[in-house]
Amino acid sequence: MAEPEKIAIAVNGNEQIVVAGCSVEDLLLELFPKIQRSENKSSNQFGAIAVELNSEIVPHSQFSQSVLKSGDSVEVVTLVGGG
Amino acid sequence: MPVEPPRTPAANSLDDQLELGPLQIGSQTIKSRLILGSGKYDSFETMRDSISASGTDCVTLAVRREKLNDSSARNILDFLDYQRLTLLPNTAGCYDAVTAVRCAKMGRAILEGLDNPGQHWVKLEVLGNSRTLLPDPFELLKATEILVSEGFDVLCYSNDDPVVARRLKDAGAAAVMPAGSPIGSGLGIANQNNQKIILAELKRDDPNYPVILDAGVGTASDAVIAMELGFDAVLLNSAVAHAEDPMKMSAAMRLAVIAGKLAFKAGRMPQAAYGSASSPELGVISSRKS
Repeated sequence: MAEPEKIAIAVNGNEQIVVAGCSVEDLLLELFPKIQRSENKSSNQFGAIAVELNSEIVPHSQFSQSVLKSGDSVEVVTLVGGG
Repeated sequence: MPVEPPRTPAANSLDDQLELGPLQIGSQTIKSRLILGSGKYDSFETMRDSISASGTDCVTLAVRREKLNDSSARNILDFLDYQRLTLLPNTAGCYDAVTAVRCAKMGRAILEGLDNPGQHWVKLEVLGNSRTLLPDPFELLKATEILVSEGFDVLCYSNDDPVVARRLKDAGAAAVMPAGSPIGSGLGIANQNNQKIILAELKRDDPNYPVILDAGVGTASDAVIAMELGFDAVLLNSAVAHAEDPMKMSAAMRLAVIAGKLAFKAGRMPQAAYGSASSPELGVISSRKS
């Protein structure tokens, strides 16, 4: 059985090798177990995060449809303490 | 028969006197005149208790990268009553307009997910220098124009230059927030005259335009002075988080903002170079005159 094709993307500034065709949702489930585990305090599954793909915000409703390509740059951000 | 003392008219109840009225900032309204930052606390618990002691209904937060493969359970939102508080995301750590705009959109996206009213606004910080943490007014103005066009209520963290403040208002900022002194410096208001000019210029023909002191507040008296000058609110973080007793300082700030605002509304007495006696001249027993 052929090995799935891998692609290189940037996630939060670092290179990650992921399976070609993986979606933003797949990426979150694989790399951010904390988000996955967080109590469902809001209407969406992934809680208080935002995802930016190549400098554009990806709405939560689009996570499963947003397919990642080689060279993509992803930012996964959350709220922290600040003034 | 004992003489009854003359009746003095009942003072307004304390609650009436302390009612400062809500503050409208763009499409948002907040009740407290104290906005508190959520950073630099020793613990989430201290942060939570300080926010509670402050009486605020508005708390700032920063936007940062989520940690990969991190399964620790503690999340700041577990310690914030974000159903009740309006969260104000900042763009701290951004040094140019493009990055600040991206950061603002991230904050909006997160708060949309929480259905928090803070999704409509942003505390826009575009820094010029990491040592002073003072804003870059040129990039700040650029970012303001972009974010205003994208529908944000932009609260601009600015310096204390009246020209910059005016430009930001003219660009459509929902509020201008001049720094009293550098973030975290605790130096209070470094240039009172500039702040007076900013307040006068921004509120000319527009008395309800929100001007908020943001940065440099060190202790309660700084907040009182700010409100007495005419600021609509005070935003602070380090003054509480780095106090020896944050909850006590938070309570002090709550009272300070009320005291300063009431004094402002009361209209202070005039200042004079010479003395003016409080006790009457007539009937003095002393034969001495000077």
